[in-house]
Amino acid sequence: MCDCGTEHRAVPDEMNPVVFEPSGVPLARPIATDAYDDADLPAGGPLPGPMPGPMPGPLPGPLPGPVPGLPDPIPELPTFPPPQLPPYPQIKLCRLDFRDGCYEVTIRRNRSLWPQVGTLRVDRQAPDAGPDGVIVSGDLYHQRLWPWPVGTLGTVVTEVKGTGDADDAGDAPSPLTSVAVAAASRGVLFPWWRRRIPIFPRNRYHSYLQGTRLSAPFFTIGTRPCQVTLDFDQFDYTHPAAGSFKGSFPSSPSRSVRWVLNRVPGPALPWLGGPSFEGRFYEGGVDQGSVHLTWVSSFLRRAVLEIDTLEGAVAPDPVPNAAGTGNEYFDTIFAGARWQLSVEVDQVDVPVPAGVTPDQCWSSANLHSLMASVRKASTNLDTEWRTHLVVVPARLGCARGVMYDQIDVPREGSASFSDDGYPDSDSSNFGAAENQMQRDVPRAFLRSATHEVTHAFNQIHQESETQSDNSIMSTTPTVANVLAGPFTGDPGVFPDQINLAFNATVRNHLAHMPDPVIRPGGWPFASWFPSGAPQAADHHLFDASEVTLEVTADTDRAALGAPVVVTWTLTNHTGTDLMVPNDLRLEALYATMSVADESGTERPFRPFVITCERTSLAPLGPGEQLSAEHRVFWSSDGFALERPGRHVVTVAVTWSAGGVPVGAVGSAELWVDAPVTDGENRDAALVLNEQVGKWVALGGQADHLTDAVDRLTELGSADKDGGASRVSDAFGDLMPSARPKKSASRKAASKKAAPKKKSR
Amino acid sequence: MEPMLYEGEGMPSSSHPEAGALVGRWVRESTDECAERYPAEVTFNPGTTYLGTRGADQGMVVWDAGIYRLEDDDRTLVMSTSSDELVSYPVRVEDDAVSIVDADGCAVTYRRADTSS
Repeated sequence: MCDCGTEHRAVPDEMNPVVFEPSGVPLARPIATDAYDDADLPAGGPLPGPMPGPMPGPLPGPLPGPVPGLPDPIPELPTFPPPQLPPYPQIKLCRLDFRDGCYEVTIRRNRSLWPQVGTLRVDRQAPDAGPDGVIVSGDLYHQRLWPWPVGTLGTVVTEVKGTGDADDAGDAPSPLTSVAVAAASRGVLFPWWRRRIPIFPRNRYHSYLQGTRLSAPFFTIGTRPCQVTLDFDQFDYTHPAAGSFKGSFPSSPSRSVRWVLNRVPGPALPWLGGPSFEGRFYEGGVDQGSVHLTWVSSFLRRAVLEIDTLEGAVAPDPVPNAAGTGNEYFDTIFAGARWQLSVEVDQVDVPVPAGVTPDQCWSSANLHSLMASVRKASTNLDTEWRTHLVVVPARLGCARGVMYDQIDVPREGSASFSDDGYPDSDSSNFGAAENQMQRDVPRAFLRSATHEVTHAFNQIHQESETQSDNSIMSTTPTVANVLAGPFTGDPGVFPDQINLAFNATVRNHLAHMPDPVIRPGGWPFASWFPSGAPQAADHHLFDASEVTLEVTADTDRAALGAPVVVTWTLTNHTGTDLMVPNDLRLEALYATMSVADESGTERPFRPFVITCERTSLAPLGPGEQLSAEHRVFWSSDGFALERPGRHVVTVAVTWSAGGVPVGAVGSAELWVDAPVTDGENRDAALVLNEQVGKWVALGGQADHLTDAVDRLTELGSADKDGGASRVSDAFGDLMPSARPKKSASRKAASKKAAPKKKSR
Repeated sequence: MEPMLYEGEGMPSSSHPEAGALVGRWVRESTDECAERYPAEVTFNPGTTYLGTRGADQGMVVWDAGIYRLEDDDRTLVMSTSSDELVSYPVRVEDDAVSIVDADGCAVTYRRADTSS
């Protein structure tokens, strides 16, 4: 698949001066990321063109000697004063270096004694971050100078097994980071400690910052200062009642704030931090106080994974990466989400607890009890994000592992079962791992153990959240089935082609969900799903008065087995140009489709072909429209309309507007009739076939699909019993012998497409 | 039937489940509030995997994706839940209905959906 969305076009502010006000959702605003915009130009207008060459000097003096007939002296030709050029505006390089990673934040409100502290995450490596490719999020905490944070000094590391990390700020702990941040706006009190991503107590959490705009220009013109400008929607947190762990965020932002920052001298020593910025923050244009940022890490978050292993069990080991250039392990997998995960392989041969049969399936209570007995006694979830993994033998059929900790403090740990494995009853696609124990299949073992650890960071199965795929948070049988199915994902072999990585959704959750949702001891498992926690890069829908997406079908009643052409039209109702995708076809990946049947079951409908190399954002003028269509019949998720009854086809078009995901959604209803004649019954049975599905998805004339050719030939046969049917009529231009019209899936998006028959 | 949570020690010996007893798509019939934690629809695949499908207004469901099996002569349904925990439920399986009772005493009934090709 192509790396769509990387073509970037700077969006001058003046192209989208309107600030949208969709009810109940954050604002989507254009930004100018790392570029100047037209507002930077001096009042005199654009820069002048190249300066002209030197003007010619005055003519030479009178000719020597009299010349008959010529007046003496010869009058001088008039000379012109040199042109008065406007002053050339000064161009200034900014060198702001507002780099990716985690910043330590201190906010001091005017007239407030206590600062707020926290972290800011700038992420230009996020997938699905749109053409400008940046997601910004942050978390703020109340800060008190007393009592001093305890329990963070002298963290003892028994053994660290990993592949090494690249944290530029160093590996040594910085236990007094929070005190240093509170006590000093710049510099560090204790210069021998290395600066790290700070951790703050759970009960001091204040708010979540969802970035909506970032401007960090490369250069400015004239007197405009070099400044970083950040806009946020801020969501104030309501803490849970005593004894519970799930607080709440409002469904809409508590306020919108702007930070305007200047680069200032950073710490004198490199291990004390990177670039620093200082400035003011504003609400509604009113100065509210000061902000100080210091870059502390190229990672976005950090945590510790402690592993203890029962006697008779074996813990997962690092495995070679596909390129053969190194190893993969828990820390490298989490580095994919820009986490600095320190792995502590602590105790091995932990004695079996009394009354427990270790080679049977374990109860959650026994696992929790074991964790409590072996975990580091100094564990303090308010000073570090520590998660625990206990490895026990168990046996085949115990589900390979579990995030058992839904007891009291949520998500303190998880478990992996070294003697469980890959029974053929779970999947026929385990390959060489079939009926083997996990300890003997290292790559698969590491995958399933990481799966459980990631549950402990409050991530859920992707079959439920997005789709089955070859990623960490799909279940093991799903991964095997995805690998084996040529049309359900990247083809490959289990376990060799196991992808030891998170998909984009989980990756961005881990990077940008609010701290209380993610951290051990925070929100209970899955309590954030499907909504309830803000996250930077959530898609914001346009209000209907601004942008609409109308979805129609070419019929509101289709025969069972008949393809239906669905059209969607995006209309700009505002009075200004909007940057929208230039290609709304499903193949271009900005548009997605799902189909729900009468039972409410909703399934995605994915294009068979991906063609996104030329997609980008382009202006859509006021009142202008952009359309696309698709023949809905079959996709890798099966037949879209395979049952009689009511169906709802939903199309969503989403893209990133200056780092803020935005979108529009529309739907159309249609009814699928049950066959009423033998002919319709016969024809439905002929075409509801996977090969015919692929034929339609390819736009027809896929002659290598011989079964499809045979079935469609029979469908179109004039001699068949019962004659033609609505199904055969619907396949008119898809028949093998017909010269097809340009198929719907290959039509380019066109402006102001002819409207289709509206659905009921 | 008393609800039963799974215990590692003393685990009943697994019986070979009757092939196909649960295979297929099932739609939740129970509408009690306690049943809202269970998916609107569940599909039991041949073998031991299942997939739960949330309803339009449902949040997180207990049965989202994982493994299942019938034990004790089809009187116990063992399911892996959203956190991969194995949980046992007393179960009654009939031709077109399956009923369980969970540890909180919530009775949930599913009815077999229309079969299709």
